[in-house]
Amino acid sequence: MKRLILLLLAVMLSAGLLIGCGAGGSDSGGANDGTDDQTEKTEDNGESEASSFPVTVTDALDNEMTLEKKPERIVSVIPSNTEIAFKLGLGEKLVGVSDHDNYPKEVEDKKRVGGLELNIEAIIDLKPDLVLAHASSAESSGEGLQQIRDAGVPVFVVSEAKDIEGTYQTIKQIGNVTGTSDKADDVISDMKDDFASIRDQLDEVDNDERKSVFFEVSPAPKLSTAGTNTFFDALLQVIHADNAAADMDGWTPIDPEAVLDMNPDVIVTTYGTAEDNPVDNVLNRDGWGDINAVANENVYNVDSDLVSRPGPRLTQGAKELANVVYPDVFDE
Amino acid sequence: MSTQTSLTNKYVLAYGVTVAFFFLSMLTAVSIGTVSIPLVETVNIIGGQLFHLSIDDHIGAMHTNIIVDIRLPRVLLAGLVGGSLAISGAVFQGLLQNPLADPYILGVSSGASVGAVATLFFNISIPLLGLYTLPVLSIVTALLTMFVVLFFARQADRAMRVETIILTGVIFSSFLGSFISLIIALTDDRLQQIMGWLLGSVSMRGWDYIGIILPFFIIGTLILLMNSKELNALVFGEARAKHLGVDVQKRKIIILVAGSILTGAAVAVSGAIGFVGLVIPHMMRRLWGPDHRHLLPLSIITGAGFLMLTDLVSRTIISPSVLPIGVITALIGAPVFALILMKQRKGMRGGL
Amino acid sequence: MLTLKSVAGGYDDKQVIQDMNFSVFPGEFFGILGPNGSGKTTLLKLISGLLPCSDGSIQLDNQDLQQFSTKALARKMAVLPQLTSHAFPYTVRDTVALGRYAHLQGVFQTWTAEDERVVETVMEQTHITGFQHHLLQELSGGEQQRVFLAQALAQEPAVLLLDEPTNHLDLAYQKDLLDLLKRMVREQHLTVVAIFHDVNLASLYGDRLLLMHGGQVKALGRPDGVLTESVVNDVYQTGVKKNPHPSMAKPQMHLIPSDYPSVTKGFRLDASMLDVQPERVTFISPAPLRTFASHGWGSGIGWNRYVVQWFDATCSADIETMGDYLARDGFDPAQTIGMVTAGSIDNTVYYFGENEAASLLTVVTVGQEGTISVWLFINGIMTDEAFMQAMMTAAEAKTQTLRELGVTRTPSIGPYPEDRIVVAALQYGPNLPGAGMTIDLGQLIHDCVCKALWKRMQSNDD
Repeated sequence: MKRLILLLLAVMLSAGLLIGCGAGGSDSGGANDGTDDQTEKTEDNGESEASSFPVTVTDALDNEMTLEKKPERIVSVIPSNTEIAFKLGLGEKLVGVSDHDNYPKEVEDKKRVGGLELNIEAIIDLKPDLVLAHASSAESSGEGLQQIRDAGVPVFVVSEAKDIEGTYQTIKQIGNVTGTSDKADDVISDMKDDFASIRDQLDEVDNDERKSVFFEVSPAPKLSTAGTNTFFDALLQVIHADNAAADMDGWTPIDPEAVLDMNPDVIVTTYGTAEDNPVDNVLNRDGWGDINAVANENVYNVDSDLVSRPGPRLTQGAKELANVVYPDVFDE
Repeated sequence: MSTQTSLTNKYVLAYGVTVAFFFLSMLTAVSIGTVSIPLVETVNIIGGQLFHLSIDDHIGAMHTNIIVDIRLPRVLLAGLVGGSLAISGAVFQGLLQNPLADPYILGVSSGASVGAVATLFFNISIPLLGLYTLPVLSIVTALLTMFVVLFFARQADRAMRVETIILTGVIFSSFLGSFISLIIALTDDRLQQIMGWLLGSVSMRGWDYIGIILPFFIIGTLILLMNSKELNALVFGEARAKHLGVDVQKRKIIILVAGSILTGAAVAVSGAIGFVGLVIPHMMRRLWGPDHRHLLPLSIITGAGFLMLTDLVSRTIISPSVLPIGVITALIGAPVFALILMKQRKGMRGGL
Repeated sequence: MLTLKSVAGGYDDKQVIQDMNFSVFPGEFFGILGPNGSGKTTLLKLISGLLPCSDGSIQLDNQDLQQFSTKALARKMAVLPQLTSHAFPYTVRDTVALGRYAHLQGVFQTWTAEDERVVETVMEQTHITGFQHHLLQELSGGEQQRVFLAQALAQEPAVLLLDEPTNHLDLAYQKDLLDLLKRMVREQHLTVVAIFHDVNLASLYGDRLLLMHGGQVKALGRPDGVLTESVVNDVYQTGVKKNPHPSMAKPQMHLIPSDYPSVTKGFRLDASMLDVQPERVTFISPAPLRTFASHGWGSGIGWNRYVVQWFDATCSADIETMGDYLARDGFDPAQTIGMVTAGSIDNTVYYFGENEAASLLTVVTVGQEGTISVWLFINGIMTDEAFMQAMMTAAEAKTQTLRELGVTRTPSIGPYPEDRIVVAALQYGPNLPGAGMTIDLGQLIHDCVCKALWKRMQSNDD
């Protein structure tokens, strides 16, 4: 259900961004050059001054900050940041994580600092020297983040990844700000390798054998799916499969009879944590019996975190999808 | 005698128009959708179902599935829910002598919502009921709420004046509403289902939900129709009704209970869908007069047709995506409501 | 018909009505009166069964009220409420037809020809048939009240209860409604029990009245017995004067504002208020005087500030054109006594007289046609009897003086002239209960009239 919160946040944020863009249009225009400079600087830092502090960085909200020394106490307020941080070997340094964090297992032992609404007091009480926020929630919790900054704690807002490439960027950013740029580069190249190998394995799938997949991200009665511009869709491209809802954009509710018309080969549900038998429910659904996926019992549940959380586990999500969509071809 | 004839003619016209609207709505709602199915085929499929003919062709099978298992049940459910809400709205407005009353005024919908939300939150599943745990528990909590509200109203005021009942209902509504908010705040992975339910929908309930609401619909409707004369008297106030010979205490309770049963059952199967219960009775009253003997049946038929159409709009306007049905009812209902309000004020200035 | 035996009742713990005993007879118009908070409405609620009696019993046709079912009671007794507004647009006919609710029978409560007949009849009786298809809201208050009366009558009740039925109604509607009820009582032997806000209306229409005070019976009986000044003043805590109705054998109570006398105090009627001009003589009082006048504009009993005598040789002015005269000369016709005579200012004399008991100004005019007018302006409070006696005394004095002078009345122009007497008095000063010849005031009047007339006749001889 994490993605649900993400969705809510995304909705709020996009509204906020729209307003922000409208209001601050001239600002962002003026700051353009600076951003470009910063990108260069960031890359310089990443390559040559990986562990050399102080480092000056600019976050997704164009806030420039200088970290005097390598952060030792880090708070992550969003699960994807946490996963990336662990992957970068920062597990020990994470002192606080969000209420929604569930991976890796070690987060169980971390202090929780709130979910949709951040517990500012708890965060400050942890005496962090870096808070990793996220662009998707930076607007909604703007005042809270400012309070943390006012308390002298640097807040780095990680940009919101829209696709796999964007995910690499966020990993880079976190590596940069935490002095683990080398590690970040390794993680990124590992992911690239993994995706490449998945692609290679599925190369033999001919165009006329391509399967169409329907994601059911929310069950009846409010049936919803994921269209283009989602990680679901991006991962389907990796595994040479078609999104049944390719005509739709983003997360969207869908008329059940449209699914009959799409007649997908595979149905993937992603709400196994919220409902006990998502697969059975789909298989037994009135009127769905003639859909290919249902008739051939190609209905599976996949952990939504793997296919929607912009972090290092996306490769794992791609593998799981490949496993259920092309079980005969893909093997790992 | 000629005036009598013109009156009869008025109601013949009224029933003619509303029944035509109902069937037109139903036919449109069944035959139009994301997947376009020709009207002839639609009729053939329904006819085939009725007379147990089989259709082998694959497209035919898909269309049959869509018509029989997806559209028909949701259209019929929309009709039953719309009819229930419209008649309860008409009845509550009359009984409480308040044209702004709606079926939810006694807190029945909050009660039903608490049952449904709790079922989702605690993942309750009663073995024998299975998937129907939610609507059944929802009806139970709705009825429970109604009796508690009436009990408290009686404790507060032995005469159970309508103001007391409304006030008690409002208090319980907000009390139960905060319960729902609490559950929403506490929930993590079920938030989407809870929100989805609270928004209201007649989608994907299947034939079984029709079976759930139907007995309540029949019983509630019959009781209310049998009390339409009493309602006519109660509109003039409780004291006046009593002087005219109406056993006010008894009738009031019967009417409230029947209206709440209808509302509770409707909310239990579809979530709280607003505005139907407010707007439809008003339109009917404005078009055909306030006589409850005709107002109630006309409201049922029109309410049913209206919600079928609303559901049709909600699932076709941005097809294949869908809008919440409550949004559509409110989009249509709110302006109509405002119009009524303005006319009402004018009427009040004109009168007295 | 309706009997209350030691009835008590009220709301929750608050007893409003105590020990109420009375009976209403069949075919009677029974009025209930009382100040605000005296329990009138509560009593009506007890009688109509809306509130239960906490003690005692109410019997309708020798049967306890509680033994009636709601429907059975509605067939016996109907209630006409105070006018209220209604939220829903019912037609007049639908509203009236609701009155038949208690008479409908069977599971389907079918509407019979008899129901139809009754509805038609009551709509005829209340004169609402003409707008039976209109909506209630489109009607005036008086029409709406008639519709609800028709609804109550459609119940075919033996007893009709009314709670201030004429509240918010115009004067004409009040009369129409009460006249209609009175007719129903007389023609159909309907028993009416009505709460009245207005004491005088109650007196006019009620056969018997119940005056309530503090939830108990203060007085009960015929209007002239119940409505005495002392009882009404006591119950309503106010000051009223009782007077007979001008054309009905019913008492009427008149309010007296408490600051009224002070407004008119502080002056004396004397010659300084007399304005003598060649074409007219005018008496101008700073405040209205109570006046008795035998002839002319504003004659009879009234309240006037001006008394005017025009001298018009043509003497064409009659009572119809007097208003124009008054308006032309700037007098308020509503506050003026006016008269015309042929002659001139020379024909007028005045005389101010005074003794221990009273003082008065006398003005005498003898017209060329021989008409004599006598005006008496008396400083003091006079009873009605005193006014009449003053007139008689003035007439007597005038006749006596003419006889002593040996004047024979020979009219020079027109028909035989009528002598005119105006008596006006203050509302403060000494109380003057009478003005007969044997009393001081009477003697004073006699003296003054004689002296003035002598003065005038002597100057005539010059």
